[in-house]
Amino acid sequence: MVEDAQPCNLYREVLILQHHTDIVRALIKVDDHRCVSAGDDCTAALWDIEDGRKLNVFSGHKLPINCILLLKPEPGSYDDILLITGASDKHIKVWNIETGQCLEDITEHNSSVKCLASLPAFDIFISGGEKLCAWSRKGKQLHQVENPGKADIQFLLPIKENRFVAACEESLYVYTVEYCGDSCEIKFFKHLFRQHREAIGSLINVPDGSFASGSLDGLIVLWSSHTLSAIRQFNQIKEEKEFRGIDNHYPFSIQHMISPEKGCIFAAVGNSIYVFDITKDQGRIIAKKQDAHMSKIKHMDFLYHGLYLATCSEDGAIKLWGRAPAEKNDKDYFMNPLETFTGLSSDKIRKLKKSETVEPCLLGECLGHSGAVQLFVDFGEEGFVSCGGDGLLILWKDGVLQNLKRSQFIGEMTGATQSSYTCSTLTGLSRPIFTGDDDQATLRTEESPSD
Amino acid sequence: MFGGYADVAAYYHPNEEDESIEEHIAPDLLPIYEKPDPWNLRSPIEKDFVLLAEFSELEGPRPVLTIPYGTGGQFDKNNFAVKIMSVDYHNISNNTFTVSDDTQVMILENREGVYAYVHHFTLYDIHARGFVRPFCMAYVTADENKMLSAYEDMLNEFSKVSKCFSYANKLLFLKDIKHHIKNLEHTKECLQKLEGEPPKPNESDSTDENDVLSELTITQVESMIAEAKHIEKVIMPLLTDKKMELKLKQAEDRFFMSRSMDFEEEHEREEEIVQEEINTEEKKEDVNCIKETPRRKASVYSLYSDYKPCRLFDETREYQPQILSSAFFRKKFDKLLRNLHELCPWGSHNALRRLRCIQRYFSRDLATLQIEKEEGTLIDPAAGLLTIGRCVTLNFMQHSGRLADGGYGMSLPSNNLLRRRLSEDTLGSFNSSESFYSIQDDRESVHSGVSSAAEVAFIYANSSHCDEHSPRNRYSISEADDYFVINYKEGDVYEPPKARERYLTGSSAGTSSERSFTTATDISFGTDVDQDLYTTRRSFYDRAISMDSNCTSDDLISSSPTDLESNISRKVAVISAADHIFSLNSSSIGHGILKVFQEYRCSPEILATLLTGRPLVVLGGAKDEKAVTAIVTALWLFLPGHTIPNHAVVPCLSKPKQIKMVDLAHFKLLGMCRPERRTSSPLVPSSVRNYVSVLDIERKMLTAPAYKGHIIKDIYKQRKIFKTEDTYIPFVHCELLELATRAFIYYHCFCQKEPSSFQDNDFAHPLERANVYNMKSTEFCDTRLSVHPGDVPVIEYLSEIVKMQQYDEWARCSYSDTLPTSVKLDLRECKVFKA
Repeated sequence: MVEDAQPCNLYREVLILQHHTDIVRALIKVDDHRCVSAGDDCTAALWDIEDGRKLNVFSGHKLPINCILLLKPEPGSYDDILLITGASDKHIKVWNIETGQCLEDITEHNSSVKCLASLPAFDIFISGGEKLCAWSRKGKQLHQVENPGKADIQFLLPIKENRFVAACEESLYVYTVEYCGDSCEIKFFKHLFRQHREAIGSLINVPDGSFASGSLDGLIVLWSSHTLSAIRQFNQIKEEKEFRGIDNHYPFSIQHMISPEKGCIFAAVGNSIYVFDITKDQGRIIAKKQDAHMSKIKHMDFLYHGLYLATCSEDGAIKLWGRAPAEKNDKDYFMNPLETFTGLSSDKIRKLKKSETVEPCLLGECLGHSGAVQLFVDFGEEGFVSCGGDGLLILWKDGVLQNLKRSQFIGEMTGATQSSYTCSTLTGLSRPIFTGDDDQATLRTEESPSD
Repeated sequence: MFGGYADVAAYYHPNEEDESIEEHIAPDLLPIYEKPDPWNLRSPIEKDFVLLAEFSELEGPRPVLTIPYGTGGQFDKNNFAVKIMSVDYHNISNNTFTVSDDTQVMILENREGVYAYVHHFTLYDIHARGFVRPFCMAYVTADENKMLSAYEDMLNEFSKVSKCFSYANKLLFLKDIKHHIKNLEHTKECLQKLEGEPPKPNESDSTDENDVLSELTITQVESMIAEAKHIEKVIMPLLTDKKMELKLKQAEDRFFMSRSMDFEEEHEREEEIVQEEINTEEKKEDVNCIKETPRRKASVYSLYSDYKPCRLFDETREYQPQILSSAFFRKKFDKLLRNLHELCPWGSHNALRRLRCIQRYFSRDLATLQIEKEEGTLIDPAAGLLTIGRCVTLNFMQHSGRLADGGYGMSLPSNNLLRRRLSEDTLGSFNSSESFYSIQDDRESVHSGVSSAAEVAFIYANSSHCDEHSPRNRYSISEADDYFVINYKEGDVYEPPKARERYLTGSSAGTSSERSFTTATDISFGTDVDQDLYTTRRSFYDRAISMDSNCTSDDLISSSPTDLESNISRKVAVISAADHIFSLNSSSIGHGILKVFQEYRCSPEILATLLTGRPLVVLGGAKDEKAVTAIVTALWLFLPGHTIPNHAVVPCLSKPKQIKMVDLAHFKLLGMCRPERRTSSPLVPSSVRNYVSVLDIERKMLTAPAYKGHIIKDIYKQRKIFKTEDTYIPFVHCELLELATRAFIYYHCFCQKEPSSFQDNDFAHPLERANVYNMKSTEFCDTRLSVHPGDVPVIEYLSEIVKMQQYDEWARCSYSDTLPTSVKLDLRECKVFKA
């Protein structure tokens, strides 16, 4: 056999989706086979990720689009999915995703729109920037509150049905939504006690009823969603000189965090990957990869049903991490992302000594973008889509699976394969190892093969 | 030369005074008599040619032109014209006007070694005797077998030419007849008026009009009207080819539009081109009109200068009837009649171009013709075609045709031989646009999927002159040359807007979106490989620029790249291996391959790179353009695939841009010269470095995966047996065919059967599935095809090409827009080889 430089990397085929002419900053999964991208070229586009077709283009904004949001129709209704785009031109637009039609053009925001969040319980969405606004699905302004902070709101995170957190520089503010009939009111609830010394870079929900915030100085704070008090702090760097680094580089800054399951947070700390055990007070580090990238990691997530932990960075690379290639006859299949990632069972992880950290193995490197890779979205067997500063969307596909699909497709076309199953059977050919939900990693794998 | 029938008759009588004439001539002026060698009789024809002859009312049979110019120098064309024109011509005798069919004759002159296919056709001319102008086209060759075996094809092709001529001619004739009827009716009215009035002899302006009226009677005029109306009735129903009409109309419109161009500059340029055309036309053909009287010569090819081309389709201006001119009823046939161009307005160019193509096609070796004819069946269905080095190698779907049945718009085998060979544009199947291509037409066909991506055509590998005479195309080729000059010689910065403008002249493009389309159409005019090279280069540039310049001009970026792709993809030029071998020359694909092999010990790795679908970048110093281009041309021989957006070859970029991921989807073989001033960004950036092989000719280094198979090594080793490329390249073709047949088996027995074994959910882990698949593939190749594991990627890639084509074909027909091309990422480990 010919030596393969990356035997564990399945992504061996790419489709290059060309549309954007500037940095693509936002990418969002619509359903199992579609995604929306938006960026600094003031347009958004809907893509079919099975074959890379551009399905729709949403253009109308005059300045770069900062944030996008999908409003799913209420269960049981036949409405189309709505796409909300918020841009620097102070407009919020509501689009029908299927037709590409702009349904509403909201101008009342009056400031650059930085972030959007939906509160499905009330069928409303909120936008953040200089101030906070609540909007009905139809684009009607329901309420507006001033932002106590000095800067624009950068993140919005719904933490409970009627409660959400807004991050503004290093401060966190909690708001409640009161909704009755036609009127809806956003009420300032609490200013969370100041923990962060620098701007917050990531704000996420953690499966066990808490949320976490990470900031430029490297500090990660875990908050309770109920009591709104800080539960734990990790990665505290005391010296300002240290966290600022040379030339204000902030080597420990938290750009992104994910919490795929209870009890752990994966964080992009500077150029490195850290996995924190959040069940213990001091925040033991389960796994760590120092200097995983040449520059700061912008986004991280699990791919291919947890087969890989992928990180993308300003250096233009997407790296796939996991445990070292399995030995022969090693047919252990792990139950959750952390186990798959570390190659250790939960028990073993628990028993790890404090000084012991697992170092993940580089399984593959997806190079293709010629600028920083902003983020990516996983589509499981269909591959994943990444977007970057070069204006490209790259759709990474499992080469062997594509090959098989094509063969099968052509076999069916030409009638050589006398089988009745369709392409979709192949798509669902491999059992997912698990699917990570927001609340809990649901176990879907059956027993591993006996032999 | 011939005054009339009498002369012709005299010509045929053995001249008794021949000897006496010779006596009067000084012996040194007489040709030296050589006794013909009976074993080595040489035909007077060195190269096949096409002769167009007419039966002139003044001169009798006379040759009009030969294609190509200058052929048949030893051959007595006058004599031959007399011979072929006297074979036929009978229709005149009929009293009533009928439209005669073309007649075909095969002339076999064994004694002289001259064989000809003769195609007679009749054009109609209101000024001619009996309204007919007999013409004939002859394909003259020295090869009897060719004549016999290609008769059918010739008949087909010449009939099409004849149709081109006669359709335009009939349109004109009908118009003339209509005017004639109006004239007659006007004359009749005048006569009737005259009858009422008494004659006024005193006012004797004995004008022609009065003369005419005095000589005519109403009954005479009436019978003439009846005759003309009969002719109108006969001609009318024949003019039903709307497509042809549309095309002629477009040509006419374009001509007049370019004439009335507002911009002076444009006008000047147009003039220039026209001037150029006249020059070339005259050079190439006019001189051929043997023994022309000066006056005749002036009038024959005056189409562009003083001749005002008649408007066939101008319905706006009402015709002003005139009293019949005396020439008409006096029937004095002493006037110079209209020439071919005037007789067939707008149609003659097209027809002559077809004739040139016919000549080029049939003038090749008989064996080549026959092999090519056989291989012609390999082209369909196009999606199943595998080519290596642009040569048709094998069709994976031949005779199965199932995809075609599936209604996915696969092109069905066409009987049009030349169309296959010369691409739809060149010879212009009637639904295509050829030189009179229309923007709309192209667009339509993109969307209707009639001639979709896999429109494959045989094409001359190295005939950069293909269609050089056609006005538009000539122009674009000359522009292409210009472009090359810019890049190669002067090293100017590439200026897309300028180039774009150039392309626009003479076309009817209006808005900017249309403009970009025009450009695209021009570019996709892929009539030969050189043109394709150019095409690819251009699109490569466009793309590179579009990525770099961050969208400065909307026109360029927003629409053109995709348009380019969709348009280019439809024109595919492939050649048959036979033709490739027949016409090997210094610009052929594969030329210099032995030299490359000699120079680079790592050649097997280079070839393996190409044959596994890994893009190869040939990198040279700033002054290595020639060397880089030469290597690219040589290596092209081993490059599988022919669809232009996916398998493009770029000979050499002297002002290269950094390679982007997008480019990987399009080129497979790319020549580049490092700029003289080193820039900070490398030409092959890290984002693509893993996926391409780089042959650095400056440092004599190759970065590529190691090759461990046998097949390519064998091909490489065998070079020692063959001393010259003339013999080695046919060997390579054989070896590649062998390789392709293995891929064929792999495709049918592995690819099409294997997915079913992956149906069961045995593979909880995707990695495991990949491993099992690779293992099975290797095992199949080993046991069934006895292919070494090192060669498996080659086999896999060859079958993958076909699969991709089929999938693309299907996708293109299912969705009208093009899908992004998928790029295979080759993650094999690279090594550095010293050449």
